[in-house]
Amino acid sequence: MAKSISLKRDGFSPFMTLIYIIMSLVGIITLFPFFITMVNSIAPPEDFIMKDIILWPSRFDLSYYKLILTSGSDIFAAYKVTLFVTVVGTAVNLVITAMTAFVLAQKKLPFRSQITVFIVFTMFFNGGMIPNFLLVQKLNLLNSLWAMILPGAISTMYMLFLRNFFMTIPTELYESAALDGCSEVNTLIRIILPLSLPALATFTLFYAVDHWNDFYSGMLYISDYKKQPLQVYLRQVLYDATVRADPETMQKLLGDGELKYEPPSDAMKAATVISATLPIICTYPFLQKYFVKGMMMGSLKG
Amino acid sequence: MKKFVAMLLVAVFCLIAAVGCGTGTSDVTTTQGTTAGKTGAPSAQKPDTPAKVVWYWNEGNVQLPDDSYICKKIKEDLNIEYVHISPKGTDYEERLQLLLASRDIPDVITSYNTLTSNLVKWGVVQPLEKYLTNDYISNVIRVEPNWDTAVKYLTRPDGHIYSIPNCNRTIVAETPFIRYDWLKNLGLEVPKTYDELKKVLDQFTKNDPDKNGKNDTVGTMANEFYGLQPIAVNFAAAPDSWYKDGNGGVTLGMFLPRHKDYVKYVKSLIDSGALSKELATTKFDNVIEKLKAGKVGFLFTWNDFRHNKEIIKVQPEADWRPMTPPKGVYDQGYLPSAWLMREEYCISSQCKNIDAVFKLMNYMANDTSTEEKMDYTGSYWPMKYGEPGVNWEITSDGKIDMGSVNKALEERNKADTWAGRTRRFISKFDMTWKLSLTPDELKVRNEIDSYPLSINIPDSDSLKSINVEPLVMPDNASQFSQEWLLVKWTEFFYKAILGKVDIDQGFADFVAEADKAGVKDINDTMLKALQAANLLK
Amino acid sequence: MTNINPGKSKMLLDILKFRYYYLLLLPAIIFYIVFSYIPMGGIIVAFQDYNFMKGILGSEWVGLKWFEMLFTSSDFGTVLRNTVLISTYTILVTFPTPIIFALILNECRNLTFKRTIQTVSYLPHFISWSIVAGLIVTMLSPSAGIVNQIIKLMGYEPIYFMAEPQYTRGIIVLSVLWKELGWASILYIAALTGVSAELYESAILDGANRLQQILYISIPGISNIIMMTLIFAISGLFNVGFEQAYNLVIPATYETGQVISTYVYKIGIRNMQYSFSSAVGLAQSFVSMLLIIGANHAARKFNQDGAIW
Repeated sequence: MAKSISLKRDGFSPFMTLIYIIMSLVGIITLFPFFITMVNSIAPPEDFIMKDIILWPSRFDLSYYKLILTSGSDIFAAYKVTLFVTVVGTAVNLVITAMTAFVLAQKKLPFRSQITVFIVFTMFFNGGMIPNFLLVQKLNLLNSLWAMILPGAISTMYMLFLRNFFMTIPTELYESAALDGCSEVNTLIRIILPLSLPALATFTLFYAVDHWNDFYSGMLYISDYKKQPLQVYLRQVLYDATVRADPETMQKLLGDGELKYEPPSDAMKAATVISATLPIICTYPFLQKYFVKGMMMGSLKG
Repeated sequence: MKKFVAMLLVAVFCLIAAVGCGTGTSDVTTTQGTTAGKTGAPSAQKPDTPAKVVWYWNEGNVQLPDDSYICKKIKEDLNIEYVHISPKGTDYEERLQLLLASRDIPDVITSYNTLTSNLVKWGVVQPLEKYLTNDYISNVIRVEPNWDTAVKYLTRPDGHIYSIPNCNRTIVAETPFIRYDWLKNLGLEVPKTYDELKKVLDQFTKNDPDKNGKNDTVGTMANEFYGLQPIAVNFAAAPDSWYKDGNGGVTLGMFLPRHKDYVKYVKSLIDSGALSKELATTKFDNVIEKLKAGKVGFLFTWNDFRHNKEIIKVQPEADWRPMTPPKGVYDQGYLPSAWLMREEYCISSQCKNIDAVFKLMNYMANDTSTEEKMDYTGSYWPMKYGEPGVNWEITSDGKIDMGSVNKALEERNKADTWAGRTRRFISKFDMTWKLSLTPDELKVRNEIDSYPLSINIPDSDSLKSINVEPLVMPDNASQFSQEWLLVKWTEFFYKAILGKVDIDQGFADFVAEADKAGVKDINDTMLKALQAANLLK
Repeated sequence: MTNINPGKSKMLLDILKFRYYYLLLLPAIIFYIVFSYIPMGGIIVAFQDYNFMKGILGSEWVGLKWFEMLFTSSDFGTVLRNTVLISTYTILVTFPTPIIFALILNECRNLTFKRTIQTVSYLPHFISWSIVAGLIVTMLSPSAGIVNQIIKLMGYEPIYFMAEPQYTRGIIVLSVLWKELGWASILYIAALTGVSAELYESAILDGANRLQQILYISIPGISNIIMMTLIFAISGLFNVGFEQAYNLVIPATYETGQVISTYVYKIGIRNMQYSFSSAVGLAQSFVSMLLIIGANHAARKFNQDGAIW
């Protein structure tokens, strides 16, 4: 196996060097916003005043993070809420999406087209904020964390993509599985899923990020401020720090107060974004191995 | 066995869904953990069951801790269970829509002019005239200095009054501030007219007023609403104010021929570099940052100008001072008075505890329980007042004598007005506002923050803008169309001042397009409404 | 199990054969009915003057009033044209690039490099639009921005990019590319790992060079994903994301940058004009549905698997 791979990739050529250089440039360009945001989140207020764009802080100032931690009621509760919704929500998402995609991947399924249209139709026509809210209310889901999980249990787009991934698996596998006496569900669990790990990893990531960044359903359905998800909570912090700001408040909150100024809104925005984003970015490396390694189709015999 | 797995999965799902559905509530107004009861049934039959009052504020997301001191006190003193809902600025309308759609109408809604119109139209709120007497809200009437005027303002065309007023204590305006040290460095006088202002700003831009050897300063920075609007007012052509059109009718400032003068003036500032060309992309924050950086010499800004304290810290040598607005088309420099009404409180048509509501309002208006010198420091409604020659003077060596202003400030802080009281009441919900300032900080704040102040246009001036605030906006002249006009106007404005279109031609085109869209109807409706309300003098 | 009609009996037999599949499908069907179809009734507010107290059933009917208002508004032509143009440019620019990016990245041998570049490339997706827009405005600033510094060095006058209408659409499209390139490529990278290594091996043995491998193995291998992405992109022709248009378009450039979503927001949203915004949404949905039907139909001719139905 290893030998065949090296046949595929020839050694270093000028062409490859060019590719590496271009990709590095792309990497630098796309890293730039995140880098600037990180720098903004630890730059002192005078930098924002004196410079147009901060490429490196003149000193490190953690007061914005301190403010985020101490302002508001309890940021850890918000993290916990979002964590719960993300983990449980993604699990629910994956199971139901995989089931549905699996079924719709069966080309011989009667009424397959019609069912797909039935589902796709919902992507376009939506009742709007008020009917959705009333529905959630009728179902007694208001102020429950499940309100952030159930209404979005399936993303039609992801499901259809997953279906297409499943469709690339050759039908011979089904036949050999059936010969072995596998039920449909078992086929799904024992054969299809293991062969679709890159796809599953992709949609795990997509669903997880969607849940993590979800602001709208938290704002709409949760009025109990102790159950607010992270994004809603942080938006509140940002608002308090920038729109309603009172320098004495900041000083009191920060004790001896490094922060003698109203925190620049750019700094607070940056710190908020980093606080929200860092955890989810850190989970990506764990999923990445599924993309990069991939699964060889050589397991046909399995 | 294997076939059961499929059924099991399905069953698990239904279970999850059912369990999930059970964990929430249908109570829309829950803000505290689990203590709020179910919706509806606010039965206060038993004498010791607290009556529930839900009040929907527009205060910017104040969150109530469970053991909130004020809620406990209200329950103790009044036997009322008070629910305080205060969503963040932009969420205010959205949350209200949801509450209304789910028929969970708050008992009291803090509202404003156009919203009240909608609420009345939809039947959400009830008429209140019979309650606006001493039998019900004597304390409120007592502490509201403008009660009679306000009540008159709030009377709608159908003869009913749907809200309880809360008036601005005083008037606030945008005051021009200028870098006094730059003036001194360049040997200039405080400008008195707009032409003089332009000359000063040009010098600020070109002649290195901060003497740092770099050509990095600019006369002023602004965008179309922040910083430039007061200039438009002084040209008697503020785009979104109503004026007499000289032919017996009324129209918006943006359509008056003299509006062109204003646009030309702004363009001249840009052409000479006195106004930063980047104003089209400048947000409010950026303007302030540039101010702090010491690059700007002049700005119309709100006279609380709290950023001033930070400027002191960043640039101690900066000497920002307020000045009388330069003379425009009026006899003196003028700024518009602020609205009389700060907010209004409507009561839901489904309110079952209206007695409790009034009891609560009276309590709020009579609140002597606070000893704190609570000073509302938010940026929305700074409450300052006074007049040049009355409360402050500019002495011969160019300083501001604020002896009388300090006194006024003290009085304001102890103000026994409805507005002052409600502010203090609200502030109790937010623990972070419970601050008192050290004597030094107070001194600094008093000195810097108490700069001038509002200046009123005398009644006899035929150029003044028409105060349409008390007018219940007729549908045609509603904000809906005005928003559109404003969008079109900003487009024209920027094209004109950036030199993309000839001002006279562009103005003619703009007016023609608005005419085609039916501006005349809006003007006529407005005229009739103003006449009916007797607001045209 | 004997039926009179042979055709019918085949269908029934099929249904029976697939019965456990249908069972697996049940939760999804329930989900769509409950969370999508039931609230869908709310669409009728687009034809009403929604009164919050009277609710959906009690509000007054106004028929096509809002649609008329939208279509006869003098700005509608401009706004529609901008929306379609910006979407089209966006599709042209941001559709092929993630694919190319994924393909090239796939060719890189160094695993660490590959992982680093991939991780870094999707980071902008997490930064909110207001921050990205702020960065862009700063970089394009005529006084301090880096782009204009370079222009000045070359001896030209600085250009106020943000205020010049001819640049607005380009700025929007390139910003979207910058922000979403990495994230969009994840899907393709995952798909590429599924292409069988044996295919590559046999191609190499047949003497195919790298480019030919990409053209004849990689791309066909992920073609059904590509096709589906394209169909979804086309269906979004009449929607330009609110965030980017709101943050990057200023009044001076409304003539090229004002799109349907921002226009409706500016004139309607603050007045609780719920019905109006519903009507606009409905019109856009309707058009999107037509587009996806068309795109899907075309796709079916091309590549049966890539089509949605």
